[in-house]
Amino acid sequence: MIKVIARIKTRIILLILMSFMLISPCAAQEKEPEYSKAEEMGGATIGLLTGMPFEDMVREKVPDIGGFAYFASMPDEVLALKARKIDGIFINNALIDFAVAHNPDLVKMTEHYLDSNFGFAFPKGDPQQYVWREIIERMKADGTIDALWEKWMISNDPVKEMPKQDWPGNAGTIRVACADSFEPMSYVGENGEMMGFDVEILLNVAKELDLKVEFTSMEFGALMPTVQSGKADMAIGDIVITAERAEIMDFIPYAPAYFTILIRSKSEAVENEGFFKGLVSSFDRTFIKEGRYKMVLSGLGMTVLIAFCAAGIGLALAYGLIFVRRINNPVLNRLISIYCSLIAGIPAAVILMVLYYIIFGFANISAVIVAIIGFALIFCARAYGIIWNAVSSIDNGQREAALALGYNEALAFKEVILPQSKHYYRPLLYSQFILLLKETSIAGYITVLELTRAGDLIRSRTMEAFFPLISVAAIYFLLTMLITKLFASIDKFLENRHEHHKIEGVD
Amino acid sequence: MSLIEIKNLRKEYGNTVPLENVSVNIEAGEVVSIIGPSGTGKSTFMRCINRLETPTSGEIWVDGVNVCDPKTDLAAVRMKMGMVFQSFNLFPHKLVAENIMMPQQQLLGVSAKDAYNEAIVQLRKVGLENKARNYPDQLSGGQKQRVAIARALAMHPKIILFDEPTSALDPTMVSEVLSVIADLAKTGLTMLIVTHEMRLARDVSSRIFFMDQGGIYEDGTPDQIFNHPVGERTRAFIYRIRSWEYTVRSDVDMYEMIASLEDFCKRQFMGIRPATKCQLAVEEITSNVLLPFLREHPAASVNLILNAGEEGKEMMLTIDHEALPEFDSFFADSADTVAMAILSKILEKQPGNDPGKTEFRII
Repeated sequence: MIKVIARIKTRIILLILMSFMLISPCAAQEKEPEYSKAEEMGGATIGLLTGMPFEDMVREKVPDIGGFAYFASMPDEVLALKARKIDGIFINNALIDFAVAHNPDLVKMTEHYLDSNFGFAFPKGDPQQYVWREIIERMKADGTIDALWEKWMISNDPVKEMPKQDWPGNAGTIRVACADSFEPMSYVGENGEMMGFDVEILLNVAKELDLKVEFTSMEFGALMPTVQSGKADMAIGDIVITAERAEIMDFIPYAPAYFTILIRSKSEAVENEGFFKGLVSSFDRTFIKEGRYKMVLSGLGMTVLIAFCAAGIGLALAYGLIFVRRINNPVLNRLISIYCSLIAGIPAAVILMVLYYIIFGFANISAVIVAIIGFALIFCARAYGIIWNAVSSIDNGQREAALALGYNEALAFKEVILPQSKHYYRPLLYSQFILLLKETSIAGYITVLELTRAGDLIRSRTMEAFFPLISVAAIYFLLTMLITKLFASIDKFLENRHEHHKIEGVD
Repeated sequence: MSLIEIKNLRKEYGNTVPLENVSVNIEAGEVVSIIGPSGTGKSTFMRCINRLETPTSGEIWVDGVNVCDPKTDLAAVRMKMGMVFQSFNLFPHKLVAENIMMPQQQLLGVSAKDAYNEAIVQLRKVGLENKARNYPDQLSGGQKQRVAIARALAMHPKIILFDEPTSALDPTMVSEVLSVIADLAKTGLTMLIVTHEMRLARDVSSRIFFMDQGGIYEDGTPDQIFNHPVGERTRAFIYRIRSWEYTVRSDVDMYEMIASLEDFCKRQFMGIRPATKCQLAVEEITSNVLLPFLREHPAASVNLILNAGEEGKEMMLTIDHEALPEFDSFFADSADTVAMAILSKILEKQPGNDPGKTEFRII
């Protein structure tokens, strides 16, 4: 074990070395943009966030555009822009100003497009919105919102205090779908707390209304489907009001917004932090600052929880299906085979989303439960196939011998057939479990904060890819290795029992 | 009421009907061997009795219970009726002792200790006490079958069904299983045995069913079936299994002929001495009489028939030369040769009434 870890350590260090040569943090001195006007960007690729339908508008401004690339979060886009995978990012003023402030080698174009407002989204016709609108209008008028804008956008104070929810909440609870990677508008801060300009405005209103706020953090693209399917009462997080969005939701505007394009400056990197210093500060940003390691640990816990619960439930269901299949009723057989081909034919991420937004759309079930159910269904179908194959390969003479002795079908199966086939299917189930463990990384699609998603969120704060990705990869790798070892020792134990020729209850 | 009563049993598979209108009673203590050509429903008949096969129609009463009634508790009936399979079907994941303990513990609720003691008692009966802690795959075929018998016995059944118990065995292991079955037959247990071992059928059973044409074609004592079969098909079957026939031409393959004869002798359980005598007689008569004759008549062929009596006693060698009138004079001409002098030491010519056949008794 120690040897293996040592070997992995050397590999990680090698990777770190290589990557720092490639993407070392750098500071720019001059700020001359690559393009001065949108019309010059012929052939360029423009980055957009999923759920932001602005292709037509961009095409209007950049007639011979090279293409679009879609991203789940702003930091991913910034990384892509810096790595020259895309040439510009079309996005709103809040995010652009923040990105420019934190990335000296990026600049924004001066042109404005689509002057509008940021807004809180409510379901169409929801009466709650009128009270909210009134309070927000007042906050605009008395300068509260301007003060908050100053605090989040302009102030250099690195410590941002958030109001605590210390009011009694007599008016009940409001469930808020909240985009989680839009610093400074709405993002996950220390201890997984939701922070940002939008969040603070929301809390101020909630305090006045004496409402407790229950946040569900998610990717931007999931905000509106979540409200529409009734899983949240409203959505916030850097939402710019557009005509298209206003068709499906009602919005309360709270701050002015416009769109423009973020591009690189022409300057070259001039200052290098130095390898070791860079490594230390990168590690610090990724894990230590704001206690981000806690997020990684809780993500890891969530991954393990989902995988084990899903595998346990899925395996139990699979055994159930095997018993049903042995009844050999043509209708039931058909149903089982339909279920198996459905699961086999649909990508796991789609299955999860269908369960979350459609099947359990209007039931108030937490995303973690939905993820466990979804992965249990997936694991069940695969385990069923594996076990059924193994069971079918057992000679029918075994069943007949048991029946002739006086066993009923179920007991013959449980005591005679299943134990013999275990030998064949156990190793296959092990590898399926490892697969499942890694597959849980897609639970982020339905707002579950598991290990991969934790890495994403850290990335969205530190604006760098290397450390969060490599550590997530290393954790998955160590975890699967550990579990493989565990399985191997279970096998060894069972084998030993077989070899000892001991009889239970006699020796 | 008889222990087993079968009334109008019928079994169809698609468009074949292996069993049609079978009715028979079996009394407690009877040892019934079921013989007959392959594909005549012997195993199907037996498997209907413990309902491993579902009859198409009819009634089967076992110990006062109709096993064809869907309301019958089959498991309870099967516990009274052990079964020994051609392919042993021991549970490979369990030790020999556990194979015998498992059904006692799980079906009869016997404690592990008592079940183990019972397993040892039964293993001792079949001579395998020292294999209790082996896995089945460490045993020979004959040993596996004896364990399977012990497993059935440990449930203390009233009836044991044997479905071709020696057919999957290497010839050298057949007799160890046969002697265990023969010992069991003396204990008064009711037994049904589907078998191709005629020695087993003749020596062990009190009653024989000869099955053919969709049912029990002839039902009688071993003496009746083997020595005085009534039905035409019974006679043909008994005769065929008792005789060896070979068509000799001028280009005969002697090696192939002797190999086929050796195989026949084995199946008849002939000892080495009678088997050697048969081979010698066939070799001598072929090379000294038949081949010289066939060289003169290249287009002709002669049938050589060996009829085996019981266990090598009374073996008759017949030359079938019907439609070959030249043979008689040829045979008479060669009577004084040296070869015939040697032959007369092992073959005794029998006075025959059939002019087309020449019969010898092997001395």
